[in-house]
Amino acid sequence: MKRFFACLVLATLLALGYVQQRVWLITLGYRVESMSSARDDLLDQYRVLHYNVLALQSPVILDERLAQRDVQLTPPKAIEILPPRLGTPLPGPALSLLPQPEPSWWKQALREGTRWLEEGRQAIAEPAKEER
Amino acid sequence: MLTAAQKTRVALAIMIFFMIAAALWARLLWLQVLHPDHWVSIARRQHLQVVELPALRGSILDRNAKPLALSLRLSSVFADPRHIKTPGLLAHRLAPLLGWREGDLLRKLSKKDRGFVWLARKIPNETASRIRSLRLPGVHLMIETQRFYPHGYLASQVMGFAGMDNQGLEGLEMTCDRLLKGRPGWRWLARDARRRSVGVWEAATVQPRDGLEVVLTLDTTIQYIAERALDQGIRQCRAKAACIVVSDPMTGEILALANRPSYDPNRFSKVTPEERRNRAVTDTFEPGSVFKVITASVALGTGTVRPEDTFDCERGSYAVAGRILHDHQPHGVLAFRDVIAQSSNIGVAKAAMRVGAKPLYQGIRAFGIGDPTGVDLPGEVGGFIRPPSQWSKPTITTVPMGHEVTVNALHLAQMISVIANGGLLVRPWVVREIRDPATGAVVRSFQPKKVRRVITPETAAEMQKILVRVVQEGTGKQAQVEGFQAGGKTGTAQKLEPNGQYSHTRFVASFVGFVPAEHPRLSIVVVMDEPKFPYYGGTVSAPVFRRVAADVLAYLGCQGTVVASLNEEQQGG
Repeated sequence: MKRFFACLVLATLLALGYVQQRVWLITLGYRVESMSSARDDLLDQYRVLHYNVLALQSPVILDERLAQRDVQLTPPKAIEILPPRLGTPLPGPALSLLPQPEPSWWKQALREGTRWLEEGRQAIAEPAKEER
Repeated sequence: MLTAAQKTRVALAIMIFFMIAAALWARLLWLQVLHPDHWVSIARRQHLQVVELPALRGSILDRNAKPLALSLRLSSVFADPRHIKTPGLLAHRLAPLLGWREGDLLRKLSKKDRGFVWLARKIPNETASRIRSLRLPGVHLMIETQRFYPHGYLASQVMGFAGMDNQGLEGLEMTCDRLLKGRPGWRWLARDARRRSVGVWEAATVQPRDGLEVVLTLDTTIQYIAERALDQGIRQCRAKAACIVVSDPMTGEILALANRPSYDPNRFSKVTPEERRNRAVTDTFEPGSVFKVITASVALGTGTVRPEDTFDCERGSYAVAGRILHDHQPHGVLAFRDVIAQSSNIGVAKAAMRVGAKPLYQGIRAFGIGDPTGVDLPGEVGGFIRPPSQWSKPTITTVPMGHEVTVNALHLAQMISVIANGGLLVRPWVVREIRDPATGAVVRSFQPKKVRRVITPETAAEMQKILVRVVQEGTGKQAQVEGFQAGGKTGTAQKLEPNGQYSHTRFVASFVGFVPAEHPRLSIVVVMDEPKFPYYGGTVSAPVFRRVAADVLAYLGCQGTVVASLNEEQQGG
């Protein structure tokens, strides 16, 4: 009789384990579906934003906006065009000319550490290939 | 202790219990092991469904990989009215989001006999999120793809458009539809009682294969420059329609192709057939004096005429073959190079008569006139010229100046490219590469196609000099590009009236040219249909050529260098 009950308990435990496994699988299924849906939404949002950037960069759209605001543009004269070396965008050229205080050692260490940590990190929605 | 009767009853109860249990086990065995298929299929139907995974339509890119057309995934809203208990409340909440009138939406949601009704297709993502967050019973969202054209009307007739179901309906969207549309995938999806999806790992899934990318020879910036100049030109001369083709004369690559009227393919449902027409490909017309380029090339190429040979242009009026030929300005004796520069009909007719009908016809056919150019755009009409056996007496005087012959704008681009590239007929083309978007690998690439040699390099060089003269001293002065030498030819052709007579009010004004003259990088064709006075090609089309050439050469970084080298050559030579 003892053996019978032991088998019964074992069978019950196995059955409960099986059911638990199925429940766990279904719960995971919900999570996976929800995450997959969130990923798809983010990718879709990325594509929409990318499209918006393209549309905003389009000469047609720029032209329309300028026409609406009655802005007249004239191409720069040769003398007004900076050579590429000088024309590179610098954040705040006036500030960069001012004498900058030497950063403290811990700030330097923090900056180096951050750079080391961020090396190789990529955005999830990085485009497959860079635009030429 | 139990009595015998009690023991019997207990034994009977146990026996009945075991019999029932055995029956249940037997039934369970029957259902689960021996004949499970029927019930399994019912259960599957209830909670499993096959979901199509739509493929993203491939992008159309310009030569610098800037997208001209791309697809986005958007949500569409549908309802199952059988599962809607309170359609009034639902309509009240949904109507403002979808832009419906509440009454109309209520009518749609109340159709209890239907299991599926569209409420809105391809709505913005923000609206979709708001509808999703409302968790309305019986209202569902599904993903569909929508085609977008970020540059609006730019090159719209070249690209065409794809319809609501992502089927290419016009232009390259139609001809490359098989490549662009991709292959949808599918997966089994389990849904619970609340229609939430549950992943099913053991079920088969076929991933969608997105459409391939089509890379064009067009350059968005050059296209924009061309379209802007065309708009400006058409505004000034109030023409009914117009087209422009900018191509690389060495390879035949079309860098820009634009037509007016035009349309925005993002709003294709409101477009008229007139606006959709790619006139540069589908419309043929009598080219008029620009055709003298071919006549002159044949005359020089056959050796019957030399540039310095003189022709009496009869002071602008010449009776020949039973009719009187006129020049728009009277000229006396002119060298052949000046005959072309001044666009004298009489001089050209006399040169053509010296060449003869058959060699002239063969020369014209060698330039590809009368055949389609073979461009990879849909709907090309190949033009027309009758063989000499069907020519009437005056035909030998009318064909050389571009009458009794029809061409499309691409024929003219091909023609001027022959002069610019040293005598080779090159096929115009638009599709450069087919790429796999997943890997970026080139699946197929297309190369320039040299059809045949039409004239010798020496004849082509001579023609270049003559056409530079047209721009410097002749009818095409308004095509002069600051800092560069350009060559070209003007044309003003009378259109035919329905009664078969040539009109005195309706014209086709055109200009064909190449620039820089020494090392041509651009062939440009400008055609204005029915411009208002002044309607001459040199007045309405040549300025468009000048603006496009100047801006495109600056964009290509050619500023001023060629002129410097030319001056050096002239000083040296």
